[in-house]
Amino acid sequence: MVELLALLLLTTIFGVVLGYANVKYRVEGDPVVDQIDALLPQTQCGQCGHPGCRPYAEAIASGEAINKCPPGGQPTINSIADLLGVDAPSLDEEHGEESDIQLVAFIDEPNCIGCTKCIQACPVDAILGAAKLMHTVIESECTGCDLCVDPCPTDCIEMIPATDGRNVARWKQPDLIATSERGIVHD
Amino acid sequence: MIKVHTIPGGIHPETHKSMSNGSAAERIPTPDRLWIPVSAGLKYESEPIVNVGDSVKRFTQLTQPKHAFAVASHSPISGTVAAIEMRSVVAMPERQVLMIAIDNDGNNESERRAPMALDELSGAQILDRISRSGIQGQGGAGFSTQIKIAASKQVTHLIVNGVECEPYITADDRLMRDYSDDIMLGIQCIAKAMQLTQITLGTEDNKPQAFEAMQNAAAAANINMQWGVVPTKYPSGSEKQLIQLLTGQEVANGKLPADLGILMLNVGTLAAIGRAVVHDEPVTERLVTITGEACERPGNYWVPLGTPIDALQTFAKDGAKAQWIQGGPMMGVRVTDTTAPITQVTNCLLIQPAVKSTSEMPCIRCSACYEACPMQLLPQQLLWHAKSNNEQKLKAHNLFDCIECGACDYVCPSDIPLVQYYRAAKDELRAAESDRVRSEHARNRFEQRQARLERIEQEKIAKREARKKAAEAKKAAKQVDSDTTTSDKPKAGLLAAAMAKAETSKAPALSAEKLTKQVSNLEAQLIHQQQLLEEAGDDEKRAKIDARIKNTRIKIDQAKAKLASIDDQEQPNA
Ligand code: SF4
Ligand code: SF4
Ligand code: SF4
Repeated sequence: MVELLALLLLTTIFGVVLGYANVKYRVEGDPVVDQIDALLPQTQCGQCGHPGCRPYAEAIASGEAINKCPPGGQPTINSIADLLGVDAPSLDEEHGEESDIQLVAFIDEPNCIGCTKCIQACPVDAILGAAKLMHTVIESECTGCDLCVDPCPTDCIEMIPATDGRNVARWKQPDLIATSERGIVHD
Repeated sequence: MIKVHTIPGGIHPETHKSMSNGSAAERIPTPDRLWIPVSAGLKYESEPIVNVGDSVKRFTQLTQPKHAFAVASHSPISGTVAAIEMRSVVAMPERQVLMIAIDNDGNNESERRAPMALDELSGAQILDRISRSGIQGQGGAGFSTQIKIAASKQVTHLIVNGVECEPYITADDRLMRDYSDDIMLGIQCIAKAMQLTQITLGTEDNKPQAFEAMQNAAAAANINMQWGVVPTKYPSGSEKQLIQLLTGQEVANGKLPADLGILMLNVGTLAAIGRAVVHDEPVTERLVTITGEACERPGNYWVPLGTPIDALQTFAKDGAKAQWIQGGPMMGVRVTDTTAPITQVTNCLLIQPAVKSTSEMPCIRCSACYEACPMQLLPQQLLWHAKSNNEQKLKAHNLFDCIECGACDYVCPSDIPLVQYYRAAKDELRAAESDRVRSEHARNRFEQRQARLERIEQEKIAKREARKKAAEAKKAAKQVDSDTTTSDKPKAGLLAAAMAKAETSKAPALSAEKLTKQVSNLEAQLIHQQQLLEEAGDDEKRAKIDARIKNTRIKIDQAKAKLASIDDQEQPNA
């Protein structure tokens, strides 16, 4: 009898504690989606088949393949695989190819008729302009998503390599200078 | 003479210094064309302020800094701006930067300078002259001297770095012997401008003549200095290492020498400061040690900045297949493009006989690298993680503390070019970090845009509703109007309108009748769409129709829900 009472008491206490914790420490939103979203490149290009990176993060959280993001490429796939504890597949080429060079949109301004169609297409407000006035792309804000190219009626938007430091050459793993070639030998 | 402390790690390679330090510095013939990188130091941007075709004199300013850490460049010769175009830098063929070509006209004309005696210059004037002379650290790192000084407000102690610990290089040695006056001027400038109380020279015990020359010059200039002679060991001349040797203090992880009240400047930098402040001459040349086993006349040479390495080809021994290294044998990089120019960081050009490179062998975990590392890192672990690009582990093992001294490279029995793995890994990590910042920024902009579009949509809906209500109220008011007598028309009319307004604001937007009709319409639409779906051929079309069907379903549900709520309201009244 006493045992039963004790058990009852314990379960009640734990129940209350857990119930309280559930209310008090509730996590807003879906943390997995947030974590996945943090790993996606935020290009917002929609090549994965979703209207932006976050929707794709949501889709991944509910089981979609993780290899549909070409701008992120293999590094992104690897880190998502790491996060979810699954094997990293290679990029699904159906959605596009991974590129070494980061591109940004460039408007050939003399041909711009000021239609504002590209402004409406740009997911990150990287295009500046107004109706019947010349438009231009703010390079530092452009994610290179390509979405503004098609809507342009005069085909004056081109994707060119970014010049704002995104493509600066980096040191590569050794092809430089072997130790023995330096003309000093160790003792 | 002060007591010298010790540092961990370090190596004792053959110094090979006597090859090049036997005679005083000479001048090379000025080449026909110089190429001046627009962004000196390459990392921080400046922009050209001359155009193709402009004629320039020696000391004419060519570029204006855009970034606070950038420095200006000045023309080393008189001549014409022949081109401004993208060219490769010394060690990365893929990397192109904007450069200005100056064609030498041979007239050797200079712009008027305004030399002033040190006594007549105020501290602020001194700093101003330093900041417009485009001085970068001449020890090899190339950081903007002006910024280094500006970041050292609380400093009381100047350490003059004359250690030059890297094998083969003797530029600082020769500078101290032959140009100690300029160095002393630089020391006096800094001491005056920054109100220093303590000045120490640090040098290695293998440069007795330089040491003597400096002592004599200090006595002549009446400068009270302390003298620290450290035993020859590589890399004693590295900033953190020398501070520890001379003061016994360690510069903690993530801290700067300024946090210990110390400013360290290389002797070359100080000489440049002396000339810039007193003679009003910006940096347009530097002393370069040209040496190596395949070098014809090893020695030290004043080379105008922008001299293409090609113009120095005569220094290579005839017939020898040589390879060129910019910098010393420990920290230098292979010259991949000999059209690339000499810059302020080029302290040495090493010309070595080309040897067949042995390939790197696996790490045998001998831990020789650990013992040699002056920063007490774990080079073999860093190598491991650099190869697998493991960001967290690299950071945990303090990759960014590595000073790229190459001591580990030197001792590694497996001939592994460790430092290059670290350089690549550092670049990789920095790029990853800036990608993260960039995508965070894009995410914010995307979300803000979404929120804005949402808000605009809501506002549109609200406006539409308001218009509709206003129209209905008007209609109701008209009706009431025609019912009432003419005498109390205005009053009653207003009242009725107000009541009607109040009513409509409560009343459902659509009548039950209309809603029922809408539902049946939508249902018909749905059937039609389902038919279309069955007929549709390709997936794309199907997906589109699918979306439309979903939409219709939602509309039907909404209409039905509204209908139900109207029914609920009407029941009690009935
Ligand atoms: S400017 Fe064009 S390519 Fe750049 S983010 Fe906007 S829509 Fe994409
Ligand atoms: S290069 Fe880096 S890891 Fe190697 S010894 Fe020097 S500080 Fe240590
Ligand atoms: S010195 Fe070379 S072989 Fe020895 S532990 Fe270090 S990396 Fe490995």
